[in-house]
This record gives sequence, C-alpha cells and structure tokens, in this order.
Amino acid sequence: MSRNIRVLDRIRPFAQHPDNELLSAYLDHEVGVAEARTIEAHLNSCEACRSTVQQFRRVVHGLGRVDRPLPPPWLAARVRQQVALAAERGSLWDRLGKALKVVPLQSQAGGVAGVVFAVGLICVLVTTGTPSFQGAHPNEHRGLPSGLASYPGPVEEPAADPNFVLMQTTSEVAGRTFVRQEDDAVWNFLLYEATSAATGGANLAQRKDVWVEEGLQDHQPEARIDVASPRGKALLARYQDLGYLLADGSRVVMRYRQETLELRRGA
Amino acid sequence: MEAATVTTAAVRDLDLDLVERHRYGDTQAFDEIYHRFDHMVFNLAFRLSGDGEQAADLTQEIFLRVFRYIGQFRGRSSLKTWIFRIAVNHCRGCLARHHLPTQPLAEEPTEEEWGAVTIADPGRGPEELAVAADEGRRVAAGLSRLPASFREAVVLRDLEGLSYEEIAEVLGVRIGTVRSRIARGREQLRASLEGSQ
Repeated sequence: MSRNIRVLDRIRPFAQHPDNELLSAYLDHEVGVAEARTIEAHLNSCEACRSTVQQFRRVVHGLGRVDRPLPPPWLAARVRQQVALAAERGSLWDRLGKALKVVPLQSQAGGVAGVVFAVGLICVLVTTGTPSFQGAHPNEHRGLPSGLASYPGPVEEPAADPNFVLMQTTSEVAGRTFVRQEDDAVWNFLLYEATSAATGGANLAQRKDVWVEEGLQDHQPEARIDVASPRGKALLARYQDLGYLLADGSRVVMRYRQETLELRRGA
Repeated sequence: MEAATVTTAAVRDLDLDLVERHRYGDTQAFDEIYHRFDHMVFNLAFRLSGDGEQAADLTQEIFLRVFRYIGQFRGRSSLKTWIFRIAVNHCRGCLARHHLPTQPLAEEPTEEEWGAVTIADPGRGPEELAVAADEGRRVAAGLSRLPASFREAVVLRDLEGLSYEEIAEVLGVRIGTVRSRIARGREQLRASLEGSQ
C-alpha cells in the first residue's frame, strides 16, 4: 500500500505534451505504471494527444490486417535437403581430421607428410568433386507440387555449392564495405583439429566467420580488441552497426586510426 | 507477472531441450526447430525483401546458418530472438550485397502459386473480408516504402509481436532506439497511408 502511494506521489503532470515516442510506447504497454498514469491523466485533458494516440492505434490496427503469407510448401523439403548436404559435408571434414590423426605427427617428417597428404587430398576433392558435394540445385524444386518436392530427382551438378555463396557476403558499415570470410577453411580446420586434444575441444568452438574490411584481406591485425573492453565499447559507440556483424560471434577486422584491428567478443 | 516468468522459463527449457537433442544427433530436433520458426523467419524475410521467391531463398540460407551455429546456442536469450537475430543480419547482408533498394511490394504471393489453402473466417462476411484485405494490402505497400531500420522495428513489433526488449536484443540496439524507430516508422506509415488515400 505504502509503495503504491509512493508511486502515485511521483506522478506529475507533463509540463509539455508527451512526445510521440512515449505515446507510441504507451499504446504498446511499454511504459512504466507511473508513466502510464501520467500519460492517461494528460490524455484526459488534451485533445491533440488523444488524436495522436488514436492515429497510432489506427496504424497498428492496419498492420494487424497485413497478410502473413505461409512459406511455400516445398521450402521445408528444400531446407531439409540442404541441411542434410551441410551435415554430410561436416562429417566429411570430421573423417578427414580423424584420418590425419592416424598419421604420426611426432616427427617433423611426419608433420610434413601429413600436410602434403592433406594438400593432395584437397586438390583431388576440389578438381574432381565428390558425391558429398553434389546435390540438387536449390532452384530445382521451384514450382513443383509439394508431393514431388521431397523426390530427389536426377542429380544435377550445381554451378557452385550454394552454401559457399554465404562466404561472399558483403555488408556496409559507416560507409565501409566488409567482406565475410569463412574462418573454418581447411588450414584452420586442420590446425584446430590437431590442437583440439590439447585444448579439450575449446578451440573448435572458436571457429567463426570474419568480416574483413575491403582492402585488408592480406593484412594481419596489429591488435585484438574485446568488444567489452573500454576501447571496444568506444569503437562500438562510434560505429554502432558493427554490433550487427559481431552479433553471431563473428570477428571484425577493420582499419582504425592507421591501425588494423581485430574486434571480437572475448578477445 | 509470475505466470509470464513461468512461461518464459518453460520456453527456455524447451529451447535448450531442442538444442541438446540436436547436439546429441536427434535428426527430428532440427525439423521441430524449423517448423516452430519457419513462418516467422519467412514473414520477416518477405517483409524485408519484398519478394516471395527471394524470401524463400533467404529463409533457406537462414536455416542453414541456424543449423551451422546452433551448437553455440547457450540459452542466454530465447531461441526465437537468437534466430531472429541471425535472420535480420542475414537479410541485411544479402540485400546489401545485391544492392537492393527499399522496393515497394509489387505483389503478394498468391495461394495458387504456392498451393496454400485459405481458410475463410466464418465470423466475417465477404464484404468485410474484402475491405480488410484491401486495407492490409495498402498498409503492406506503405510498410515496404519505410526505411529499412524503421521497417525492421515495426515488422518485429506489429507483425511478429516481439516486446521492445526482445527487439532490442534482435537488432542489437538500446530499448530507447527501438522505441524511437517504432514511433517514427508508425508516423511515416500514417503519413504514407494518408497520402495514398
């Protein structure tokens, strides 16, 4: 009871009209109890603000009438197929990693032999292709009735693995273009695999994409900065959109004050 | 408030359970994740890209990313906001890569095209349904003309029903920014609808 009185005590009428942000948030029940009561008191006496709230309400009501189309019925089959391909590809890398562990790496000669073997194997895979990389073209099922969508059909050699399209994504932040690169390339994978026993697999979890500012692809970062550090926070405050690139755990390599920096979570 | 907390905790348990099952090789788990979120992801991609076919491609790519990174989901946020975050980032990246400007929505995909079935609302007459559909189309066209940052916030709030806190998490901005983007988006939409009348 006494707490309610204290809340009510804090209610003061607005000196001016509440701004539209507040009125819109009030409509969404996204303001505090005290704030809501102050707004309601103001609305009782202000025709202009009542009208604004009414207009917002009409827009929200209209948005409620916007159609929400269902995903096409064949999409589930297509996603399932692509996911199966991705899983198969993942297990191929796993097998390759395990096979390499069999090669004795204690001696320098063994290490060199392992690397040569890996390079040879990769060259063979890249030049000839393997059944694991083959699959129906993502567009193959377009327009097919849903019953046929799950039918594998004739296997078509894709012009490029559709998953690799993801690697070439670019994004613009503060007028700069960032190119996404896969960190789990073969060399890194082998490195991670070879050292995973020592780190208890923790390093495998560190495999992330890297967003590299255009033109810095061949640069080594001069400093690694944690986004939670004061310098990292300052950078994020200055370039807020960097947060989007870092959101899924990816790293960002960028030029800042004549220095090439790598920005990451938990550097 | 207590009920809401219990519901949130239950959803989080369900999320973690699904992810754990996926981690231990249960192939059904990813299917369940897909069917739980495919509508939301597809709608978001559709409203951000303005094109049905492109939305289908984006949805496929988004779920591939979800499949790839789901092992790293630790339950610090809900699976819904985590997937939405991937979806928004992926749509932004792809739409920027293709240099697609904000385009007015040309046409909603038809049911015949995708073989979807429309279930009539028995509580509303044909005229009322026609008026509602017409208004929906006008608002959708206005929505597609909004700047991307406002559109994202308005879609997540008014079409997907996320709270301001969840939207802030998805977009990686402060709640104040979410509040501002939603209000400004709605204001612009109102002006656009008045102009089109």
